[in-house]
Amino acid sequence: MNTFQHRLYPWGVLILLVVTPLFGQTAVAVPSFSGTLETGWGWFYQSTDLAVTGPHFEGKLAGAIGSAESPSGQYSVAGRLSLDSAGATTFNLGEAWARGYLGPLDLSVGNQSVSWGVTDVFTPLDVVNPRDQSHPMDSLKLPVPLVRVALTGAGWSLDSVLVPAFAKSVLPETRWQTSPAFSPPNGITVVGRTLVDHIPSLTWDNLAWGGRLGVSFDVFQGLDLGLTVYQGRNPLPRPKVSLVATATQGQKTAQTTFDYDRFTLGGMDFVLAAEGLVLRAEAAGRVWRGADFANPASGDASAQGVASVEFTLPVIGVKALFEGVADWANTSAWEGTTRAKAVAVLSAVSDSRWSWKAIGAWDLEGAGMASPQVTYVIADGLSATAILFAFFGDSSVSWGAWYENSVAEATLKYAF
Amino acid sequence: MLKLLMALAALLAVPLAAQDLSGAELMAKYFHRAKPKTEITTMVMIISKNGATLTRTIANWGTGDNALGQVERRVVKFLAPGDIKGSGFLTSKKTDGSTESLLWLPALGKVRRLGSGASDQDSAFFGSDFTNRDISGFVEGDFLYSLQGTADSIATIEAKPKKAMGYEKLVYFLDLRDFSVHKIDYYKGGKLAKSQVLTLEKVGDYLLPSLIVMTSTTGSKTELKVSDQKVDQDVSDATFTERFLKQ
Repeated sequence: MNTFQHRLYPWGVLILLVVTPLFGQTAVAVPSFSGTLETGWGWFYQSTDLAVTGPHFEGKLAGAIGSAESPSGQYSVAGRLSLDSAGATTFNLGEAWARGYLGPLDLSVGNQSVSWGVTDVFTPLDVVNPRDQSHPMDSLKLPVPLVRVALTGAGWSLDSVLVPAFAKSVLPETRWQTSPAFSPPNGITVVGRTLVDHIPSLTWDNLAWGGRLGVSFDVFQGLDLGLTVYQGRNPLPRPKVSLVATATQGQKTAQTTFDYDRFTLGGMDFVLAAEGLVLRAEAAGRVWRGADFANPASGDASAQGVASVEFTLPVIGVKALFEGVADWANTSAWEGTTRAKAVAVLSAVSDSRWSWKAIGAWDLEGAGMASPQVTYVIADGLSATAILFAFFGDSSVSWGAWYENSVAEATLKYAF
Repeated sequence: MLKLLMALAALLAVPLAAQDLSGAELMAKYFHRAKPKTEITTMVMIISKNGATLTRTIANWGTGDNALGQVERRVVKFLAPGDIKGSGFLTSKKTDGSTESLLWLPALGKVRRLGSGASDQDSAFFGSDFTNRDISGFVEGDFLYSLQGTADSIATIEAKPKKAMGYEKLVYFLDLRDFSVHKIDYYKGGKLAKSQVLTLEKVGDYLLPSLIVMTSTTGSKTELKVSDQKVDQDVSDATFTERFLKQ
């Protein structure tokens, strides 16, 4: 079976509007074609399941218009062809955009990914794109159609996005879902399940937009400050289960409704490089479903704060990153509860071929994950990686709930 | 007899004043030699170990000269192989040797600010025999110099770091005829750790390296071959920005 999953957007006309004037320039560089071919295997050692990640090929055609030092435009089209274990192929459009450089202004139109914020593991300001969370330990950012305008000055930049159509995240595969099973009240038999997915339609009201102002200062080895605002919808659904009566008394259908909540986010970030230390922090506050900012009802406000420190250990040259996050959700007005997580990442490049990484993550409510990884470069562009994800701790807490999903993986990747 | 005549000819070729200079004065001549205002270079880096090689192609834009009190700015972009293609970094080295570094990782779509402490500077440059410090270069004030001797127009100058760094000392082999350096030995733990040999070529009015070979005593070797080099081109300030790094 072949499925060809892509959509053509009417505002692709905008791409032509960006690209056409660029071809008036004299020099058009020869486009480059690059890509990766990757396949992998996973062994869930608690359940002894063997999972094969079907081979997938990612190809990208990219080019510039004008000189290498000061192009007047660029374009990039990428796609991903995947083969699953049943032999079915799937094509997904990746980044596909055209960008014009108009003086200090960069105008980009098309399927794009936007990375906002400065921290590495927990990224509360990186909210523009939905994610493919089929495998939550390797979630991929999904490019979405958007218009992006960036204005750059000496030591500052203003980046803004306009996302016309809502796109949802891909939910984790069944084995990674941690929602508790639904239990009907006594005397009720559930005879079926239905899903109502309230995907926001393409209307002015559902338009998402945002901007990020970044300013850099010549302090120590560099200080960057950023301010972010964004209004959009959560790409992850808020599920609600209700029972719907059937013709037979005592028998009902369990109906799950997915709603994608509107939110308004305000946040800030900073990075300071001072000799051997790099300090990063970002914080974001959100109000949900158009709540009253001054007096939000329970569950209608949340905030996340992240801080990290990165340095290289002397002599052995191991790079160390420690990052902590505090999640806060209100229970009434601006009163709320907080929970915290922390991550440590140690990494090193032993020589031109061997590199390794060790990740330890802890939920302070009593669960965690350990993940050692090693990569060997076999030849130019060809590498093999072995990764272990081991989950432990309280099964009522996210990582502990994945104990059965502890997995050893091996991947082979060729990039050209 | 012929050898004696050649040695005499070489000696006469050396400016008489150069023979009276101290190690520090000779190194000042080296650091203040004529350098291009801008450089645009394409290089191939070949890392060899146990008979197997890995190759990386790099494009480099550079401007500024610390010796003239300017900030040295450099943009490096990887052109190949595929797994690092498109990534690059931007460095600004001030006259006191402190360096500001930004790394562009296209897969993450992010520019990361990097640390520039001694440990960061002493880390290997993309798994090669060069460290980040070797690539960004030294400034004159990094060392205390002492002339060890002179033979066949080559002065041997020992450079001991003023501040702690990954090397105990460097030994420069400086040609007194043009104040160019053809070889540098790097010492760690009282032993020779690696040697850098430079092949120089005249490019415009400048004597610039066309091949740099760093050989480690552990058996690995990294060659940097310049495949294309343009000097004193009109390179705008916009080249040394985050915006250009991402293009």
